[in-house]
Amino acid sequence: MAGLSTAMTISAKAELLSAGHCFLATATPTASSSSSTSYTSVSSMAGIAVGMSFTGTNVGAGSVVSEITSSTAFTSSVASTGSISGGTLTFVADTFKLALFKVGVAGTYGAATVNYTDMTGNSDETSGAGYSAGGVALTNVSPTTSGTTGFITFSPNPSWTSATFSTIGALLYNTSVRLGGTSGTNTTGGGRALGVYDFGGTQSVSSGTLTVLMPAATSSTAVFRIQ
Amino acid sequence: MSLLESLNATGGVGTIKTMVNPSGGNHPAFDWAKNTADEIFNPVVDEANANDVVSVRSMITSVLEPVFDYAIQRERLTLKNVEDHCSKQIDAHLDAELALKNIYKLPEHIWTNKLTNSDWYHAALCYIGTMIATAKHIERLLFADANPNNTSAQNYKLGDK
Repeated sequence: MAGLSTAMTISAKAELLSAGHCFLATATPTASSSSSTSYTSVSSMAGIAVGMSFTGTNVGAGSVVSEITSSTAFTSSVASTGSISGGTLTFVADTFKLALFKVGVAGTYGAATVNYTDMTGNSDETSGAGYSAGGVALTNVSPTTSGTTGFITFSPNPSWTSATFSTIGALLYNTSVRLGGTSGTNTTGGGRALGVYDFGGTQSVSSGTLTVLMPAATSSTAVFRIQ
Repeated sequence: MSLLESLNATGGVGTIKTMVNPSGGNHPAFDWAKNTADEIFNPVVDEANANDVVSVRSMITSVLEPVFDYAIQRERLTLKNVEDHCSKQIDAHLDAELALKNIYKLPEHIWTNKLTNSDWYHAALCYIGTMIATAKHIERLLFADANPNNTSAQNYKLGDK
């Protein structure tokens, strides 16, 4: 039966176990390098993971952390283009987006949803002034734990201004390609769905502002959590 | 589940709510305050204490509203006066701390001790901070809508941050 059921997608569970999603927040430590793939004297390796892209002055285009070699050093996929002496580097993890479903969806969405392309394949994404296809990018807040539960949140909440559209729910998905292979109908591996959220009714806005409120980041209410 | 209650957590996804301002512009400070109070103060109680919950939540809303109002007005003014303000990271931490200080100044009630619990404090601080950051975020989006020639604002909106 067409419609939405709030759920974590089953596919996301396997993908998490396959290092398919990285929710780390942007990190900005200082480091040194000299026309090399070796980066040393990193002020803090906290929140840095293999696969994160990074930028900075004299950082080679497309640089990605390829190996963590010590508590203060890592290897990059691309050599630095010049001298970096205690320069600030900006590391970013995956980009997650929240896309909105239209009213009267044709498809069925919930735990079995696999990819953003499930939504677009059924033409079930909302549209209208102020809404761009794909939804809005979210700002990661690094994962944390409380008790026996790990969870994540995003901040600020996603908002649409000067907007005219209606929606019944949202799809949280990962735009970054961390895992190869096909995901649903997406052969590049991007767009992997993490959660479907039913708003419990139609939310309409006409030349107005719509804000989606993420729940409080606790072990029992966070928008995405694992016990 | 209640933010205040310590329950066996289950994995999964949380409940997402929405706020709509049909008039355009930012959500009113009262709406920000009320939605925040609803989320951070929602103890599970029996009917005998239901009115007390409403009363305390109303008090929390009343001390949060001026914090949101000030944060929004300040962001709006800064956007107007600083050309590339959108290139700076949104900072809501001090506003959130002030909001919590105001909550702790409320007259004593039956949940006063529970609100001093470290877990509640940090969760509430995070949530209030996120809501204030979102209010400021919307000011930036609105500024971008009204100022198509402001590069910083347009880059901000394109970044969907």
